[in-house]
Amino acid sequence: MIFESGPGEQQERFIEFDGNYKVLFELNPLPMWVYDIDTYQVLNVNEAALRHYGYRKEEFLALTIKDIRPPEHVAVLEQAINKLKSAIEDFSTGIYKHRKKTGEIIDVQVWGSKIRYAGRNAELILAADVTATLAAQKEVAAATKKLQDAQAIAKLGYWSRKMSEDISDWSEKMYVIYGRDPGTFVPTYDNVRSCFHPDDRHLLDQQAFKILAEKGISDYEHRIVTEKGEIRWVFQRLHLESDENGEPVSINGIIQDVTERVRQQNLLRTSEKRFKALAQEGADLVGIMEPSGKCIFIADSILPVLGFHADELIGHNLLDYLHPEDKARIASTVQSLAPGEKVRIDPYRFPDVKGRWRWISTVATNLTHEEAVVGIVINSTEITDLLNQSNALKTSNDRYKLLMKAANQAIYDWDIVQESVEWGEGLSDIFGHKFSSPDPSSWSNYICAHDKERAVQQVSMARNDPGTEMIDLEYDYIKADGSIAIVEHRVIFLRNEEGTAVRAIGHVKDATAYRKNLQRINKQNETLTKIAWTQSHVVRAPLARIMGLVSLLKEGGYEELTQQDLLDYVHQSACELDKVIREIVHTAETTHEPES
Amino acid sequence: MNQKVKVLLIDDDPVVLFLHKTLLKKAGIITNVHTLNNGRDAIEFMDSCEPETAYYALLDINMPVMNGWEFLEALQGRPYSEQTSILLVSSAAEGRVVMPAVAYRQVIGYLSKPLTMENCDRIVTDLAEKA
Repeated sequence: MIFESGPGEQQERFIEFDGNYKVLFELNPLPMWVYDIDTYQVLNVNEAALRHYGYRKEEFLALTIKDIRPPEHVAVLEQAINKLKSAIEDFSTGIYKHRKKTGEIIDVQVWGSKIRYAGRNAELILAADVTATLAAQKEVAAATKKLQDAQAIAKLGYWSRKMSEDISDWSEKMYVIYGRDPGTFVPTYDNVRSCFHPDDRHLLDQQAFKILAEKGISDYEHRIVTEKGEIRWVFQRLHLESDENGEPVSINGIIQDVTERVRQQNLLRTSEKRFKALAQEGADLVGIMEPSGKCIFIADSILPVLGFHADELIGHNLLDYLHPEDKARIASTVQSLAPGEKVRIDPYRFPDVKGRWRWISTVATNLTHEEAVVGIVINSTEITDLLNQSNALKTSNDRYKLLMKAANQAIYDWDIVQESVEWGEGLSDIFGHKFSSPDPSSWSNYICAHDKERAVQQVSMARNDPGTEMIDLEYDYIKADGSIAIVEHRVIFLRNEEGTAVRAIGHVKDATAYRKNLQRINKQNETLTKIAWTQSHVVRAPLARIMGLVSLLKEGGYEELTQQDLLDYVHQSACELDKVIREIVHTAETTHEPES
Repeated sequence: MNQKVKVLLIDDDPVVLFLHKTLLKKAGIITNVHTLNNGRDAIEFMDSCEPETAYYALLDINMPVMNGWEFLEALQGRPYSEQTSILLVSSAAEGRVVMPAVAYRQVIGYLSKPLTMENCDRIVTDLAEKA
């Protein structure tokens, strides 16, 4: 015992502080002091304490131990001393905050022993400044925490295996990454191999270790299968540790769960494939250019459209290719685009590889602020054929409108889908009615009752029959002046791909006069036919007779008949002929009487 | 001249019958010439003769009672139809009026009235071949 305990009940637990042991106190390199546990008064102090706390001896001895504590820690001190007084143990220890004379606060590890000192109940204190140690420990703890956090975040695990052993030493994180229970899973070579994805197990064969032996270090990625069957991707870096003779003694490895990265890479790869499919294989022309017009990128899809290889245009100014009449407009539009702004550019002309002008429609988006683009994205479509068709259609429509206006005929345009009709002006001119309503039935209102149902039904049936392109019908029609017109009506249906009639063009003709003329012509034809027949049969019969008789008179030899008989026959036939001719003249005159 | 072939002149005009008969006689066709006023008379006459009798007829088209076309129809299927040859004789100026006659195999030709001596020579030749 360094300090001897004295007699008495309470006092017996105190150690006397005197004699040679005092030397140990005085010369101790660590700060020591003695204080009265009742008054807190410092009773003695060694040189190390004076030196460390910055006091002269008489200053220190004038202090109570409260004075070397920060004010906010005095309560803690009093509590500790009260505990000390009532405690059975004679020793105490703890880390407390102390204050030097300069006011500097330090952390101190204190060991205390109750002693009797100069007849007073005191405590001998040995104090070691652990400020630096605690700070270092704190730093180490913080660093350790950071490391652990980094490992957790990076999903890193460590393992090592001695060449002579079958079981690897796994860090806790290894089990997490492998999805194995540390309580049941033993990382033997076979067990670890079974965790590898079947297609990746070759990475554990001798060939793989030969590479590691040659290079000393080896990186690779592979899949593992967790206990629950989940497939994860991991990155492994192996390091071969050798002894002084170069003989391998162990393999150390770090492993990182890179499943998320691989997944992202796969997504990116898919996205890139999709982009490529859209940009390279699509029908549209996709490119990126600088605001100046210089081509940065252009998709291969330009080849089948304009005949250029992408490389022929990249690096060149696309504006230089434009038709002179379009260049200023396009340049102005593109260069005035603010970052993030998108604009649809009206069709312009760009040459194909053979120099023929092609019409292009473009949507330009300024992505100069996007790091991955840094340019103006141009998404274009070659619309030459479309434009030509559109122009042709417009011309055709214009011509049709002109025709409707110019032709003083009853033409109408029936939009079957919208159930509306645009009536040509000729209808009103010919029939006298005003057709201002687009209602298709406004026409049929004036069809004579005896024809109306049939005519409407004929049109309806033709409209509903996908195989009918055109229908001709005829009916009587009541004109505005009350007269009846014979109408010839033709309807031409335009149908969609399903065969449904979507539009119809109708042509209506007042055929009344024509029909009357036709009837007169037919009558004339009948008369002429009759005259011809008469000429052929009736006129020629007496004529032929006369010819035969005259011939006989000339040649003679008419047997039982006399010349007079023959002449009588001739006369009779001539009279007959005369009669026939008169009848013909009369018929012709009555047939050609003018129409009233 | 073959006497087995009966020559029939079928016409409703007696002057024509007289003229044709006179011309045939001048051409040497004197016997077995029969004049008939219409198709009906002709059919009845032919029916009354031996079935194997052969005929050579000059047939007018426009006749009362039974015209030339009706006669041709009536002739079909009769036992003597196969040995009957017919020359249509019409006053019509245009030949097309006899076009329907091509449907009847008995019809061998068409002559326009009045007959001439050249026509009669052809008839003589036909009768010689038919014999």
